[in-house]
Amino acid sequence: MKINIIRREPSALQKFFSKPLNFNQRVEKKKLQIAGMICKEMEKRGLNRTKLAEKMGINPSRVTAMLDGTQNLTVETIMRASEALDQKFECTMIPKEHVVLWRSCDSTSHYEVVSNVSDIVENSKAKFIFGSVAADDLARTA
Amino acid sequence: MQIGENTKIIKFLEALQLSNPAGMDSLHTAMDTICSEDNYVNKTKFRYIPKEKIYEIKTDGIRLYSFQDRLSDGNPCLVIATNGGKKNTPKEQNRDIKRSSQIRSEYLLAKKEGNINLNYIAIEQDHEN
Repeated sequence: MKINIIRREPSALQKFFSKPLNFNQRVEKKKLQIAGMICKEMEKRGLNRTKLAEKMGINPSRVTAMLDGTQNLTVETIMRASEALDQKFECTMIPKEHVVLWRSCDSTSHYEVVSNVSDIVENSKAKFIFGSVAADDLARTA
Repeated sequence: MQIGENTKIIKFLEALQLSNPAGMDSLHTAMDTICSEDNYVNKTKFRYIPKEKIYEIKTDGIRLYSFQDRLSDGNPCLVIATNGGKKNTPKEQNRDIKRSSQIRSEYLLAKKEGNINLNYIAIEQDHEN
């Protein structure tokens, strides 16, 4: 079987999907990323939406809306969710030109990597890769 | 196997672009989110079907079936849409999942045999994300 994808010039659809996200889409993406973090922790702890709602002291339908990315999340809701999942919620702002790629960070040893590259991050564009590839990436950055 | 122009999925998305622009924006965001994560988990928004390795993206009454792949350099990540539909019955959903899984298998086989020529548009990294 042969698959060929040949396109002479981008179609309207390709142009649509190549467009950078607008402000509302970026907001929605952030909500989905937060929802994704919550879902991962729920899965680790074997919690379903009802159990999380109980721990957060809210209605299960609000948890569904939160995970769907349709609800405008408040700091209080995020804090309730993180505490119900025995997590801490940290927030940060970074310069616009910096690129940060987050990956999993399951071991305390990774914090060492972050402190090592902190000087570089302050002065130049940098990319964070947490996990097994972090050491290689650090070597490349240096 | 045909990927690209004049396929059902392209026609589906083109029709959607005209009939439901807000839904398409939401779909774009959803796909972008999957692409930016190694293993995005969210059963409410993206039902991952582990057996078939298919994502069902649910947004604004639209269901889009897709799977993930990587380009040869390992980065960036690709989301390959296979088929889609509007809110449908469980029977129709199963049929769509089966169809999506079949397309995925055909794609992977063709890739393994080296019979694939994949042209893509690199999406500019949006630094504000």
